[in-house]
Amino acid sequence: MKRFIFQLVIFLVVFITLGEVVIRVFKWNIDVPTTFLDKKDKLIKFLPNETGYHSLGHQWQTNDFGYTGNNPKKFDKLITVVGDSFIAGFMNPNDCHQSVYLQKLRPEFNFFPIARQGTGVLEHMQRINSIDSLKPILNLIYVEEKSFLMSIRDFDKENSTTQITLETGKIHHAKYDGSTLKELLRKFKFGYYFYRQFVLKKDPEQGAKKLTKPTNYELVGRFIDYIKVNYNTDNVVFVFRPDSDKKTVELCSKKGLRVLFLKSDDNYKAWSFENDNHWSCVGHDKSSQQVSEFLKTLDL
Amino acid sequence: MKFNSIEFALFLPLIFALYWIIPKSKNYLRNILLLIASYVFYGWWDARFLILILFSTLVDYVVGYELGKTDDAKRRKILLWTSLTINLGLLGFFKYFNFFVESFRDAFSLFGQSFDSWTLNIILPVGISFYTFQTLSYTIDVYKRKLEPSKSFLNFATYVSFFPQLVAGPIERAINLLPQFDTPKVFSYQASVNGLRQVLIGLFKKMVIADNCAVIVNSIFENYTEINASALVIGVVFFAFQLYGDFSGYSDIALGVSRLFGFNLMRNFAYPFFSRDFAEFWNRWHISLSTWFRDYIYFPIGGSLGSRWSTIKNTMIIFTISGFWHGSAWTFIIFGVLHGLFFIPLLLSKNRKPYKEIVANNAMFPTFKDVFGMISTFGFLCLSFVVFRSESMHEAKIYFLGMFDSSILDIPNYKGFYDMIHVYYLVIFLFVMEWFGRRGQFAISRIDHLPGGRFSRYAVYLTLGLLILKFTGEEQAFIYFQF
Repeated sequence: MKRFIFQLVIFLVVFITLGEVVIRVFKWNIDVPTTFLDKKDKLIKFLPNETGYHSLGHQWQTNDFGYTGNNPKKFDKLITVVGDSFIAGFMNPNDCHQSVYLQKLRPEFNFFPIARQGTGVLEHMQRINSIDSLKPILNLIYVEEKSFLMSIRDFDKENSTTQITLETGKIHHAKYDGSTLKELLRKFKFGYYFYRQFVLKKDPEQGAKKLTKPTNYELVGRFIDYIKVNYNTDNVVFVFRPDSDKKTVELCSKKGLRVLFLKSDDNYKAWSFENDNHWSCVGHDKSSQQVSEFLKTLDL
Repeated sequence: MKFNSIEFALFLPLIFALYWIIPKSKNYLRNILLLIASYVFYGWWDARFLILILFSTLVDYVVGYELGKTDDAKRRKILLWTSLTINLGLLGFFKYFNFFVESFRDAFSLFGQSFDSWTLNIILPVGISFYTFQTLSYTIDVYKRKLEPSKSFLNFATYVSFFPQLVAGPIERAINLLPQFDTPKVFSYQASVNGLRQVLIGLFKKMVIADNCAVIVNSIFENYTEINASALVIGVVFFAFQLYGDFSGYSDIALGVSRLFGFNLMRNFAYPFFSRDFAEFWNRWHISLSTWFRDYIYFPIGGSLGSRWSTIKNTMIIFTISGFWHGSAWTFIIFGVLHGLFFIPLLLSKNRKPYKEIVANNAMFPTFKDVFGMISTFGFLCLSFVVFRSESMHEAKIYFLGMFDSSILDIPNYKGFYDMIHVYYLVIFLFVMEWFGRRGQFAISRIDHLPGGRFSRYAVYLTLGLLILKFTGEEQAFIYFQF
């Protein structure tokens, strides 16, 4: 028995070591960006100017501000492009980000990407506040109904993003887990790859928490009221993805928020990756064209 | 709990450690552990299933016990029929009730009659066909006095529910497995190493071959009306490999896991795609089922002892039942009938010698005759798999017609043809590995004989491990769970 266990342990050590080497050399893994908690505004941010590989074969990079994508060319006529994983776009090459497409279409403005995966509207507003000194002329926030719901603690607890308990007005900041163990796992490529292949792949929704409850419009309405009172929404446009809940879009509009509901006349599936609902370059291209047309209608 | 799940990856080492910690002298404690583990394993799907398996266990234990007490032929027959009625009744209810109701309704509608039929929303308990046949084999063997009735309910319950083979076989005979629970096991290094090797190859077959082939197969069978003949042919060829990888992979894991606990289960697959005719195929594919039907139905109804016509009739009966065992649909029945028909030429042939040894047993490569035999057998097999995989006979008919079209020489036009090229290489890799390992119990069972010793063995393990790591496909349920 001792011999069996000894041989098994030896084999596992060799296998994990070889696996670690192969995963690193052939870049099977997604490099996870380093995060830190900015104590000033209590927001979780990426480390600035970091690069890493994505398993789809491209390299991602964070800019001087710790957001994925390029730095804005200049800071005048600045328009922020705010959102969750759709805008952070780790799965997209650098030239295939929403802000890059918009920059090409509307070179007279400077687009500034601000995004982190798993975040909701309340955190988007906080991020906009955190760069207030740059005085953006417009903030484009890319959302769906889930972005509103996940900001409301009364609806469901969600630790990945800032939430508010509407009953008490208490703010709950996103939970930051920067433990040594997590840092160690981040560097242990085999472990992370194994987790992705055999745990996350079997339950793809695990990464993005499922919303099984039906939308509570009363709570969403109260949340919008809260946002309007506590944040400047005059220079904000909520850009809804084509598959968003129509009633939520109408509610936002009714409550006086500026809204752009993207349309996909053709098959919306073509906007996304084969096995991933995030926008591919096609999705970013098509959405940016509609946003660009919308910008023409504004007096900026 | 599925073999290819994280839960099982934690469950197995825990049970393994506990099992061998218990001293050899306390064999009953080891069996209690295996029984609890088996019920946890099975109840992981749905705890309600446990009531059924416990009931089935109780019935056959009591019937076996009573059979052991009496020599009265009439009473023995009553006891046997009690077991048969209850076991087959449960199987019939859970698996075939809705099928019979719907078939009667359809039959009446052919004559312009209609009646209000109702079906039940029945959940098919996982593996019911497997453990029902396993308990039946016990009762029949006790009835025929080939086996002494079990004196220990614990051992009998563990035999019925033994977790490695509970949900998808092999369908173990009580004569082989039950006495193994009486014997205290001694840990064997070699048996455990072989067990892990078999688990490794089983995981490769399931997670890499079957689950990747499934992506191609699903894409083709879901769009069979829109794609060309060459793609349809690829669809069914890959389905053959999916089914083989899935089911033989499961059996490999079951056998391997059993070895870790010192148990030897019967071999269920022996390189069936190297078969040179259908008789050989059924000696190599799902062996535990085909021998079950042979011993408990084919021989009792006369087997091949009567006239040639009688042999053909018995063969057709067996294959039809075998098809029906797979599922409650006409496609499965027709699948069985087709195999019976493929068998008939062999029964009519006067000079046919049955193949007993694996192809090219004493040579590196097969003869042209062997190659012809293997390709033609595989070709006919694929034809039957069209019916097996189709949702209905109508779908199977359209699929068949689509395959025999002039577009058979065109480039396959299914979505993702180029994205899935790696699957072709993986299937070829399995094929080559099985060819070179065909003289062993499983593809890598004889790697001790490889030149290079430990280095070569490690190369094989690491290659398989990395392939599993890299190419694990989207998880699919084991196909045979539904049977």
